[in-house]
Amino acid sequence: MPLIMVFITVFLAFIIAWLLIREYGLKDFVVYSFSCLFLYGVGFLLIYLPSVISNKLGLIILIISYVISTAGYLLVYLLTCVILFGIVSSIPVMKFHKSITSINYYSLGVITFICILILWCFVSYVGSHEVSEGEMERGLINRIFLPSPGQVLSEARELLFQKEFYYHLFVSILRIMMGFGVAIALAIPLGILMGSFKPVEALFEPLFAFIRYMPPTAFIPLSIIWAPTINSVPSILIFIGVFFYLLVLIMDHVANVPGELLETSYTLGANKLEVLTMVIYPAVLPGILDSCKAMIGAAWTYLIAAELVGGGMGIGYIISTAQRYSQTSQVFVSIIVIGIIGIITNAIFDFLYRWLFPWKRMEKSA
Amino acid sequence: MSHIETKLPEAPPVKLEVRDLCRNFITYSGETVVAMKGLNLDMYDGEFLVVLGPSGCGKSTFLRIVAGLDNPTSGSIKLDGRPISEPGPDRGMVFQKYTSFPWLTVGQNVSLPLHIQGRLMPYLVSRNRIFYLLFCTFIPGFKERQLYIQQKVKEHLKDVGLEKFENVYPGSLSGGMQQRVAIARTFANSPSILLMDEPFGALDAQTRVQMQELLLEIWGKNKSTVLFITHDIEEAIYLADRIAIFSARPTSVKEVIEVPFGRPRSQEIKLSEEFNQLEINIIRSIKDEYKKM
Ligand SMILES: Nc1ncnc2c1ncn2[C@@H]1O[C@H](COP(=O)(O)OP(=O)(O)O)[C@@H](O)[C@H]1O
Ligand SMILES: [Mg+2]
Repeated sequence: MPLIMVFITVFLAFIIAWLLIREYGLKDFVVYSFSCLFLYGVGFLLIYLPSVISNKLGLIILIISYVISTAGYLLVYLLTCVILFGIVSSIPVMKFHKSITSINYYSLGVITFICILILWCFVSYVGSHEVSEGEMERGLINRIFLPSPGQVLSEARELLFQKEFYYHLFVSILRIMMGFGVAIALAIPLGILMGSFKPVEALFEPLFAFIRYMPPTAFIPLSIIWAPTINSVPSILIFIGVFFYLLVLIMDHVANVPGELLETSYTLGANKLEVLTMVIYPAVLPGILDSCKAMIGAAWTYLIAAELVGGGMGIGYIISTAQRYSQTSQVFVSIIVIGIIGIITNAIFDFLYRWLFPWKRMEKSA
Repeated sequence: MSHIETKLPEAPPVKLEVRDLCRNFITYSGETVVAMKGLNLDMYDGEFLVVLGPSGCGKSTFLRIVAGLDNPTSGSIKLDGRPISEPGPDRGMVFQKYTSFPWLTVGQNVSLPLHIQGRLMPYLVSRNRIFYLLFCTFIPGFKERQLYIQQKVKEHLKDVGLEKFENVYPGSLSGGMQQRVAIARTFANSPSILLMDEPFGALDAQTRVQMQELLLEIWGKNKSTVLFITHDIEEAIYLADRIAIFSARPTSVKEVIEVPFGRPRSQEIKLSEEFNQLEINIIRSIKDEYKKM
């Protein structure tokens, strides 16, 4: 079985390579591969530069690291084999709610991406279509609608080496942190109070329910009028879009704290403040982190929506300019970068969850 | 007459005095359910009293009222001569559901009531290394208190046989162990009276017997007063000094039975003729109540 998978992997790798070579020619393909290898080496150089300067041992490490980086290239191919092996080995043992090893889990995740990539390569490089009268271009779909992987790759190479791009990215991330941070900082205490005490809930919930049903994007024009500078519009919109939903989620988590825990703490002599801080707060914290993980996706939506409208800065601004000049591949690169940031954010949240709540792991295994 | 009175054995002091307790519930449909009517009960200091009764008769409601988690419609309850109105650390409660705080280790769970006794929010401080050191150096008596708590926790965990599990999270423990944590935590608070609502109801038969022995052992050691609810008649006889049988709804105390076995008790009493006869009597008594429902 594993042998078949190795064959399939190599076969798939060849398909992708073949499609890329067809598009760019062998020479460009080889050059591109080596430039990747070169980048690999530069990375190692940067890491080991201090030790190279300080002693001779560093030089040896540098050479070794270059060898390792080459081996790393091979490793990527091997890893693909392992991934596919993981998928195959995990499918027959499917059972309800049964957990699988993490290598199998990530293998299955990766295969989806690989499949999409292959599909994308096919519609871009196989067959041909008419661009204008008598003028044919490779691929089934017009490049304006869907750029080819190669185009996106070269666009990425161009865009990702510009300082300006990172500036815009930085601005966007900062706006998310501002809007989201303020929303969390206010929603946690208020949500806990509203979930714990009915009078507090009665005071705010009707108003917030009213606001919640208004689409946050409808506030863009208003916040443009109200905001002190156009720069603060995205953060304000993120706050509006996230805060009220986060509040409901937190209230729900508080409502789900078992009554026995609260009653037990009363009989242990805790007063209200102690029940809030020692029981309810730690009990809902994991749920809050989960909710934040879900809401940060919405935060990106509102960020981009606000930046598309105006502001002259941020990822959304890049997307809107690219769209204006029909640079679809640039739009693609920006979206993919956001996706990658999303994956990283997810990983950070998962890490935080495991790090902050070791007791949750115990609970699951029990 | 007076010389007769002096000859009588002196009655132990009354710990818990329940007089004419009534509790009405109003359901969502607006009906009034009389759960409890004219309930009278006296509990003596150091006594182990078990409450038996048909299910749904109001045993839990009674216990919750004693704990202060529920309020009676009328009637009075006095603990050590003081009326009860709200929950307090003088009445420790063990529920059937597992109530260990899952984010705290077993040791921290047991130490929680001790920290609450200390007030000053020292508990939050004790979980942060830097604050802990700061408080140790600058607040007089803080360190001594922390060391005292640590030592107390060790003692109470040893009593329930969990000393090896001090740094384990309760989520990974078995049901019996979780209840041990709950018992240790309640005793760490040294309550005036211990209230237990079918604490071993969710455990398997073998674990239950183990837990009964453990409970009697700790009870003997701490000389506390226990009010214990169960639906298991064998458990009731094995544990109790006296058994109060509750009638069907509206509930009141139907009869109070003295259990004639001495202490310490072994499991062997369960095989004796006396034990079986008592068990049959109680079964009959409860069956009568079921018929009334
Ligand atoms: N909050 C409540 N609202 C309405 N009825 C209740 C409520 N709590 C308990 N009851 C009623 O009181 C009776 C006694 O309940 P409970 O004390 O839980 O019984 P037990 O513990 O003896 O099985 C039940 O018949 C139940 O329907
Ligand atoms: Mg009950």
